[in-house]
Amino acid sequence: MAKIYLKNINKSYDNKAVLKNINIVINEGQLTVLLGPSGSGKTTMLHGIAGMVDFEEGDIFFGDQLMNHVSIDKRNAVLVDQNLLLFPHMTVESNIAFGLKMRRVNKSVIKEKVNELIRLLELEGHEKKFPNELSGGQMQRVAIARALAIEPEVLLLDEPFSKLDIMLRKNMQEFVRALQQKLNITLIMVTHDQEEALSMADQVALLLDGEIKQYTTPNEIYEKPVSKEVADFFGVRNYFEGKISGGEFHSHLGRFSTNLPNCEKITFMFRPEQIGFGEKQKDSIEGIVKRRVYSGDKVVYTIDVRDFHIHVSSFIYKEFNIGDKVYLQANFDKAVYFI
Amino acid sequence: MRKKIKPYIMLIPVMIFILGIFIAGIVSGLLQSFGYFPAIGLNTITVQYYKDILSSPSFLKALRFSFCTSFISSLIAVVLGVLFSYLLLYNQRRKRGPLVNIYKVPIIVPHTIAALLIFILFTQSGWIARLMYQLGFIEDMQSFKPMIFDRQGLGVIMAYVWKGLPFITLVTFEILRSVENKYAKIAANLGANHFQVFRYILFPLIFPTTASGFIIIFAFSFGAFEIPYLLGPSTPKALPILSYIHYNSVNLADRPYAMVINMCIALCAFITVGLYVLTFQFIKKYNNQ
Amino acid sequence: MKVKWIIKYIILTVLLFPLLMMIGWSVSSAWPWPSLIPQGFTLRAYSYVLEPTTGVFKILVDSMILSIVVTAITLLVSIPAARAIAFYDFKGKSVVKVLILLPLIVPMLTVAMGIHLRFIRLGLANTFWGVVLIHVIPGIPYGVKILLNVFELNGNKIETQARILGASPLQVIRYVTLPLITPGLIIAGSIIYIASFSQYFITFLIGGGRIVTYAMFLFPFVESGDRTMASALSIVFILSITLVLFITEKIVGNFYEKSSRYYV
Repeated sequence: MAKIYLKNINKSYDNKAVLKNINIVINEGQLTVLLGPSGSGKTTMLHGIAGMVDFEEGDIFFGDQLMNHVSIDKRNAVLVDQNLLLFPHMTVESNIAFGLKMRRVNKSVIKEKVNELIRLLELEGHEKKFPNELSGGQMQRVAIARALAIEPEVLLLDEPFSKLDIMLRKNMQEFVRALQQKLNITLIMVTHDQEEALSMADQVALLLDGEIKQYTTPNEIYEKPVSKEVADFFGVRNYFEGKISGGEFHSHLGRFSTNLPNCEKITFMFRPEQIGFGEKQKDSIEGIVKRRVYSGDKVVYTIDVRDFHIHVSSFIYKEFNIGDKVYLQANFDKAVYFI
Repeated sequence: MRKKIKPYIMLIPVMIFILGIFIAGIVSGLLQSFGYFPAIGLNTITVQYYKDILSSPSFLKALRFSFCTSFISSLIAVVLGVLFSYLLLYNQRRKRGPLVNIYKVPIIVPHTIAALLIFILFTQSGWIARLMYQLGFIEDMQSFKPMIFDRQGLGVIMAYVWKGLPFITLVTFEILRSVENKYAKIAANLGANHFQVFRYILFPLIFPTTASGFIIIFAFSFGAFEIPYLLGPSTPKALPILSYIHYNSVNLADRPYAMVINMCIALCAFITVGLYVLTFQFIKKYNNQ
Repeated sequence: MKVKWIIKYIILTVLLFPLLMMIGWSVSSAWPWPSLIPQGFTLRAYSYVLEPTTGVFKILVDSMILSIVVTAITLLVSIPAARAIAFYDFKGKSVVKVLILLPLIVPMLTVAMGIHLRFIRLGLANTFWGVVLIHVIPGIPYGVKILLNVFELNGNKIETQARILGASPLQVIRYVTLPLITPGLIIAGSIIYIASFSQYFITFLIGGGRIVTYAMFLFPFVESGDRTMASALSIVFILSITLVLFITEKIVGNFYEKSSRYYV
């Protein structure tokens, strides 16, 4: 079911377009991630949904209600900023109660709601503390509780975990994902971290230069990128161009058998882990190890094949040194390709 | 060892002034107020001067006058100064007008000139009286209610407000702006309207700065000579003027009286220091910027 | 929205209109009751101020020199003090901090009357240097506090870095410290200069009428209600302050802009 619908959105700052003709439908009760590098317009999009910036063109719908002219304090789309921005002069309790207090909700109702959120976000014992007495993870949870208190139509998270250290980040990612599923809320999250996006999202929208390049499930976007740009973003390093005729792929790396039909121009893409080392045989590619980068669980090699570089990552048990001659195996039948 | 005494060495020059002049001045005033004034042959410590002064009606009236004019003028300056700061914020957002700097002019104008300005506007032959006359509110000069040299100290209050208001705006504006930038949108996003943003977020966050601003202008006006001398009534006199009259008396034996008054002024100042320190502890509590 | 706009301009008018009136008075040859605008124009008051024979201009210049000396001394004692507080932990630090801020609160009247006798004994009363010394006191809290903020903001890592790169302590001051604290020095210096230039009572007391600063010269004109002369003197007063602030900012600003190209 459609929850939020952005229709033909355009926005520019100082004549520079930051959002170009955005059309997207956000599903109710799902976690949608807006993924993109800094400057891609994802935060602007989020702020636009919250009502913090006005889009120049286009419409925003919550359900079937047009929200363009609903002011920020009435919109009920709450943003958790990456800086959290907890009110420093208020206790944890007062921070969480803030939105309800602004709506002049009955005190006992507020109390109840705050207690519920304190439990839900595991903040027991910190009710009377001030923000500067909390740890990073606790502050994060207070910010989320404060947003959830007013039961928003949609919860918006802007790079929520970027300031946490790696262990805490993983915990918070799982925590937020579980919370979202438990409460069945609509959540839109902005991040530049593809791993975070893929592990948390129901749907991922990849934004590059103010345009949505692909909007689908994490699985799809990783396995089946629709363009080279999308593939690049998800870490594809190797592209082989050529043509197919008579069950063979012709490229300057050599000929490889395939069961694809004939075509004049085709590009195959391989992630570094999709190419393996093997013995010399019919379809193997011969090359020389040019560089190796050790990174704990794996080694990434750059292999020179004539004047062409191929990036291959391999687990530790197979080790090569610079200058070694190696044979690479690539399975063109299973590879993703663009025509 | 060298490392240990280094900060003390760096503090020597400033301490020569602070201890050698500032504290020495206060201490010798304190001694004289208790009647220890060897220069004119007074060597016995006594609280008689305090008793005399604290029971004299002219002192009590002066204390009341000084306190009222300082407190009221500081309060008005703070309220209007913060309001103006807030209004400038919205001006700022649209366009960076010259407004942002022009309001600062009174800050560089000394108190003597501030007194002159109030004088020009509010004497019985002043511009305001003329305006009232032209508009037909008054018949002649004499029917204009005197607003300077008056017993309520209206002229004194106006002069201090005129000086204090832009000072308060100056000290609050930057912090108000940064607080607004940081929290106003997020508060609105949680459902706060303009008034609520000010009431619950901006005001509490700039309160410590505002309070210390209040204390500074209050303490200053409480102990300053120029404005009440130039604009105040002949009775009651402000404390600094009363003190100077005793000090300047032909009879040197009157000096301890001046010192008693000075000590009272300083005591009030120390009470405000107490408040000042409390304010800063208050800030510390949630200073996590 | 409209109300906000109106209130804003009312306050601004309240702040600036009196100054306009003063300008009017300073150039009016006649402004009798009940007219709202001056009835005659003259620059006589200004020519009196600037005429060399009247000596007013000399008082102005001497006064500026006095305040510049006060500013220089105040900054010189404030810099090491601010550094000590910013970068060292020592016993009695909080006492020192309170002591330094105290002149902001304790009226100078109390201090000046208390120290007057000692100044007379030391031969400092009624002298240039006596007045300078007493003027330094109210400037200290501003000097130290502002520079302290600057030092705390910058930290001393950059200076340590310069030492690591082989700069001598003097070179560090010349090439690193000074450029870094220049904006703070301008602000603190301006405040100290204005405060000193505006002092009336303590100058009068310690200077004993012998040291006549411009603020002291102006005072009797205001006291006697001579609106034209007092206004003209006041405007020259304000202009002189503005000029000094402008020149400092220009000179130091230029230096800073040039150096900041290398240091920022």
